[in-house]
Amino acid sequence: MKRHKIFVILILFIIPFGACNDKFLDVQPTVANNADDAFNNPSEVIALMNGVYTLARDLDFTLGIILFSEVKGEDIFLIPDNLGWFSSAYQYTENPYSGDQNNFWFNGYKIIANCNQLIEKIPQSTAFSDEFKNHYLAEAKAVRAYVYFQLVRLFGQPYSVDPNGKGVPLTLKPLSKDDDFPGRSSVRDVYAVILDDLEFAESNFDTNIGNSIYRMTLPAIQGLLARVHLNMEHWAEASSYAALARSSFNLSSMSELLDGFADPTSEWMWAFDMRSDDNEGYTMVPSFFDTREDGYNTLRADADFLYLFYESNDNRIYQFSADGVNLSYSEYGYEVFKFLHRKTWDMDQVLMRASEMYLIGAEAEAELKNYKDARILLNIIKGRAGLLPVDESVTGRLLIDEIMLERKKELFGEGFRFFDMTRKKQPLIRTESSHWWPISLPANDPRMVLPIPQDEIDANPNISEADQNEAYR
Amino acid sequence: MKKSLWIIVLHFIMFTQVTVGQTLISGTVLDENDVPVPGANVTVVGFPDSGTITDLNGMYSVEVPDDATSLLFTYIGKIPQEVEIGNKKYIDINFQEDDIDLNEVVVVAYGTTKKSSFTGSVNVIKAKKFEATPEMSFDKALQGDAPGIQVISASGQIGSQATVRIRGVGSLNASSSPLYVVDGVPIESGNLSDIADDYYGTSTTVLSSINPADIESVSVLKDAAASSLYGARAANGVVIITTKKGEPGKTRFKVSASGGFSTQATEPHKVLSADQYFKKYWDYYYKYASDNDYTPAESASFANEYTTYILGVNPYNNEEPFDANGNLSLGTQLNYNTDWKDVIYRIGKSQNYDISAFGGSEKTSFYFSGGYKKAEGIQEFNDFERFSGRVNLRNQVTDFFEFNFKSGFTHTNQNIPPGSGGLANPVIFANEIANIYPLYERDSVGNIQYDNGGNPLYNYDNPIIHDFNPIGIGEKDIYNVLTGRLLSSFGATLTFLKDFSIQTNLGLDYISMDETRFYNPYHGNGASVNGRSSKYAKKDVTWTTTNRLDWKKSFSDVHSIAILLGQEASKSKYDYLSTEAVNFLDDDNANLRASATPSGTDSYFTEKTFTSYFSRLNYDFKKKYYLDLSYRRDASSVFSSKSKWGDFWSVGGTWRISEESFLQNIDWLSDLKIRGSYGTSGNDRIGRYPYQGLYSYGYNYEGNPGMVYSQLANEDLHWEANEIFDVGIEARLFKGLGIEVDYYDRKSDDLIFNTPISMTSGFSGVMANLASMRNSGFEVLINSVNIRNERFSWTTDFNISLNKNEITSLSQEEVINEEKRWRVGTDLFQFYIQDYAGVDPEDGQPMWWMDVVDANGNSTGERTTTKNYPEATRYEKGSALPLFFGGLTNSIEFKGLTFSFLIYYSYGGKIYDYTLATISHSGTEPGTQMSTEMLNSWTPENTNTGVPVFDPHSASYGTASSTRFLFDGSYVRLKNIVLSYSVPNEFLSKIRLSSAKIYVQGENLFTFASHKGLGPEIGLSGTDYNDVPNYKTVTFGISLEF
Repeated sequence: MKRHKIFVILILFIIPFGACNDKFLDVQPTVANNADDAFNNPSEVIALMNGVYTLARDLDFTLGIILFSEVKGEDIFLIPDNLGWFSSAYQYTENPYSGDQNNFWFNGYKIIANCNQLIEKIPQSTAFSDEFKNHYLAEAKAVRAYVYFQLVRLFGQPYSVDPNGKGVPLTLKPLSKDDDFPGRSSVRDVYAVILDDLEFAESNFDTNIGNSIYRMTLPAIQGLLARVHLNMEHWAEASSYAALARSSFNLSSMSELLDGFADPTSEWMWAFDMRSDDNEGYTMVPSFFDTREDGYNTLRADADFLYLFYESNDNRIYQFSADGVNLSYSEYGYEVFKFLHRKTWDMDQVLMRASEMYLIGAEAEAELKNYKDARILLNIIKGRAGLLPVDESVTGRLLIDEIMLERKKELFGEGFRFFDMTRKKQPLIRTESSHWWPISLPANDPRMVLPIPQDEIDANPNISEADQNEAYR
Repeated sequence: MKKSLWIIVLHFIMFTQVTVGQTLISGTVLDENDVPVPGANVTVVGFPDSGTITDLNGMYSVEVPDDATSLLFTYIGKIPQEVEIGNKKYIDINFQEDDIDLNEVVVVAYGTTKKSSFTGSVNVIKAKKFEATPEMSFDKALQGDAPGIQVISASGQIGSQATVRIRGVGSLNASSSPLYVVDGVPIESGNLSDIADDYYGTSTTVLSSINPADIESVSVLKDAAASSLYGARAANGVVIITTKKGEPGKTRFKVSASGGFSTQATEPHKVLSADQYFKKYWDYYYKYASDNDYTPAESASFANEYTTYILGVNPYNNEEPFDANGNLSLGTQLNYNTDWKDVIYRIGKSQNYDISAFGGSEKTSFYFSGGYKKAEGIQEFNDFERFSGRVNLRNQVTDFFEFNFKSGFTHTNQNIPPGSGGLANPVIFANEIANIYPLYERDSVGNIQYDNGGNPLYNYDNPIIHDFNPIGIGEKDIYNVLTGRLLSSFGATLTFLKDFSIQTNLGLDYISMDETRFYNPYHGNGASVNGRSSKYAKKDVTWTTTNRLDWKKSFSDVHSIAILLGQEASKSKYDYLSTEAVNFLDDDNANLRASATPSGTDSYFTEKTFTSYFSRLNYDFKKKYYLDLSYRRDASSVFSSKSKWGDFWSVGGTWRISEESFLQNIDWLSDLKIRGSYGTSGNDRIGRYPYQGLYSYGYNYEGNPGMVYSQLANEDLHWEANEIFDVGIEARLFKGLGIEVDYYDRKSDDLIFNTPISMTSGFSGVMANLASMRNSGFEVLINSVNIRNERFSWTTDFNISLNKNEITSLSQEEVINEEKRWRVGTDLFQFYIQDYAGVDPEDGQPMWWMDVVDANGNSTGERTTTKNYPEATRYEKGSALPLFFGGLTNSIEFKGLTFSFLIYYSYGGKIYDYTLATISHSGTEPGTQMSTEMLNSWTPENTNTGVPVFDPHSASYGTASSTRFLFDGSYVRLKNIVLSYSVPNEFLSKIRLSSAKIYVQGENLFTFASHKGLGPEIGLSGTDYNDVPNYKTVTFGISLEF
């Protein structure tokens, strides 16, 4: 009998683990969501969209591209002691193995892959309303278009130079490890996808759901359309989209332009949100500029650039002054205080302002030879900076040059310079006034097109060494 | 057995009655620890019919014929002793443990076996090795003790993790560490800390929560026959730890105490003193000025000023320290010369106390212990404290039912200063900061500055590591790890139908870890946020249940069969909680209550489950031929339902040739055995969710949760598979010489490896089973009893391991990772670097070799030198893995005095000296320390040198990776040396002690390394990472038993 009892005890031990194998072996992570369960309810789609913005905001994409575009021009430069950040970009010494462009490529496609997941899976779900589906499809496509727009301008010749040249690979669906990976599409095909996505977004965007300037909005999408058409030299479309995009925004006052670009003003159309508890730390743009706070503090303005403000009594010169009175020159060049670095770390990153839309309009109208309309738009921006309006006699090339100069002065530090230079077929001319790397390049030099990362060439059977951009073959 | 014993005893009694002319001799038989040995055989040599056995107290008395000359004492597991009788009436002896006992019982997977018949390759390390180790964890004490086991303690931080590899490295991305099993329960090993982790370049090991003094034996299972029964977790070998138990008999107490001191085991690189450093720059600027037509006086003045400017400091008490002739001007002297290594290293101290009680009756036995250890490392602010206790109980309830309970609980408290590349690493600071910077703030004439409280103010100013001072920061910052661990197992065994038994066992491994990291608000990492404190609370709990059925039967003494059927399941859960705040009141209170701003919280858990069925068949024929078969089926939650299950098996055989009749008459050969095995095992230690498609949380935006596609699904991912072939010979010759030779061939296939894929997928790679590797080699173990008699014994143990590692397939042609390259045909740690060609005697510039290429870019096979580093060709310049390594132990005993030493050696294997590279700059890094080699730098007068010209303004690549810093890593080390004395029994019995021992022990006392300046024991990869150097220790101890 005793023996019997002990048997029962032993069997009790054995049963609990023996019986439930399948369930027992099924464990799920809590640091992540299993991909199969990621599209079950609206909050998950919203979270995935949030994730897309977080990826896009990173130094490895938007913030990096902004800084990259600045240091590749002639107006802003890196001091030699820059801890390696963007030094190959500044010196035009990128190669397929290293350089910031490798991060842009990888992270660009990472954002695209996330958008593709949304674009593929949202329509399949039965848990969402049609309004919800359409809106988030529109938002995901708009972000995808933004990313392709950045990538194609970095890794291909500008559309204005060679629309048939090699662009970037197009992936419009989620890819798994066994799929056939795409080769490089033409610049023209990439732009076609960008326009397609943006136009879909424009017509399906629900302004009742999407109204935060920290995300895609209808004006932001229209502003992107204006930019894209400008790059494609579709002047009429560029002008009309620019007008549409800026229609609900008032320009800020001059004094607001000196407030440090840390918080949205009335003319901000699109920005990335930074919060004290959610920001990009030292890799935010102000950290590279504002020497009053601890940061990288490694970007300076070229003396010749500053002189452009000085000679014309441009009020924006105070964007180079810490105290609103004096310029501040340190060892290598003039310091820049356009972007305030404050201890709370919540400096939002501006991505699109109404003033840019005025300048797009001006440029497009000038190219369309509607010089009067162009001058009106240009003078609005000049007038705010305390500058005299451009003379009515100024037309043609001269007027366009005037508009391009205004873009430099109005938008410096915001990531436009490199793309304007290549788009407008301008040479790079660095004087030795401040630059310690006084390189000069002819317009649309092959080195102005970035190398395809070697890792991509090695891993992608449809991209060969022959597909590498000219300067790096 | 019992019965036959009694017959023998009766026999003796009968015969002793009829023998005439006899003397009565009596005495006590004790073991090496002076514990009485009951049941030992006492025979009279030459009189096979006389003799006796000892009683429960180890006492005997025997009638000896007058013409007998000696007595022979024998006992299982002990070396037989023959003692001359002479005129003695009393003969007491101490047995010595027989290291090469043929009947030795060893603990193996799911049971025990006799070493002599085992078909697998196993090494057993006994308690003695661990009882007095100064290390915090037992694994570090295994070095040099057994072949095939490589133990590396790269860091001299106490309580850090050792690297243990059994028969080479078998994985690329998954863990290559062995599985650890304590009293039958697989346990968590490795580092669970967030304070000390890869990022901080430091580690802890949960193995330090096992008190080495509680260990009875450690078995290292090396081949398939030994380890395959652990299936999917056995690919990298298994280490089985068995804790002590009580034996029937009187309750005994053991108390031991020890204390020790430690210092750096090897000398660091010689570096420039403050005056040498200053002068090096001064000379350069003096010459520069002279070359530009300054007068000597002007040149000196320029050099004084410019050197001070570029270094940011002037260590002299004079603004113009050097005169026009380059001599110190009158009255000038150094204010200080900071030897930073002296600042951050100290004499380490340790103390250790253990008390245990053990004993029991036939039905119940017990072992209780308590331990306390406290140690301060040789690095400032590095310390370790452990409280431990253990209860092991066994009770025989009835003749068919038994249960046992084994439980150990531990609390450790460690402080671990950061390591690795982090700026706060004191080791980097000491290696890289020149002596010209002061430890304390000083005024212009060199007086130390004090605060209002009279404490000296630390200097935080130097151009290399901004706002750091290793002592100032170390006193305020906190890197604290508290670990609690409960390791328990409860088991019950039921025997039935004579030959059957059922056993069930429930094991619990419960680890809790509480950690604090504090950056003070005033200097260093915390200054920008006004102090930062991070708190971590973690729990790692594993339940394991094992149920087994055993059947054992012998048929007419010819066939013996044992069959095991078993089932096992385990579940691990790791819970993580962290919270962080910034903006602190001051530097005295690291608790979050003293902060103003929360800056982050996180919590999550991960789980892993495991379920298995296993079986084993042991068969032997006439104790000559043995066959072992094992089979195990495992499922792990780590893999998808498609590939969860894996099958693992082994077959092993032994032929005891010496049992054959044709070898019976060879006197010098007492045992000869050939064994061989082949089998498979697996490795699933590659994270917990590697196959699932995942969206990671935490990518929040606009204050709302966000997630990002972070891992591509890969349902095909499966076990890494291991196949091991092993053949071994074990022999015992001339009574005292044991030899064991093994050859093994271990193939690791389906190694999980990150395979690059097109980034257009959104991912740069996926984990896939794509690589394979092979480890093959020889192991030799020799135990020799050179001399052994009543008063004196001398034994020698020697082992050597030769392992060859080879990558046999990869998914890519090559993978270059810093100074290493993986490709098929090389090993895992092959250096692939630029070849330094010395210095151009013409201009002192460094040169490297490059291949000459023809017009098509193909190498012509010729080499030339280049001064342009990016042009230099990379070559394979040798592996970091040693060709062979092993240990040599000698042990001498003389009348209670024991002297033994272990020499560890490692031959071949390259090491790359990053530290030397850093301090070999040619002046281009003002403020960074320089090696004394720089005193031999190229000058127009000194052209025959390998050290480039000193030129702070050159852009040379002198310190870039090259063979300039690649060295032979061979070394020999006096790993352990012990002198101990056991007080004779005569004295002890008066004070009611049964044994007393005092000892002095040294660890790592002498090191002879081919390359100096860096501890030779660096990580497997052969590169140093600014680790704390290894230490040497002298320990004094006493151990009493009563």
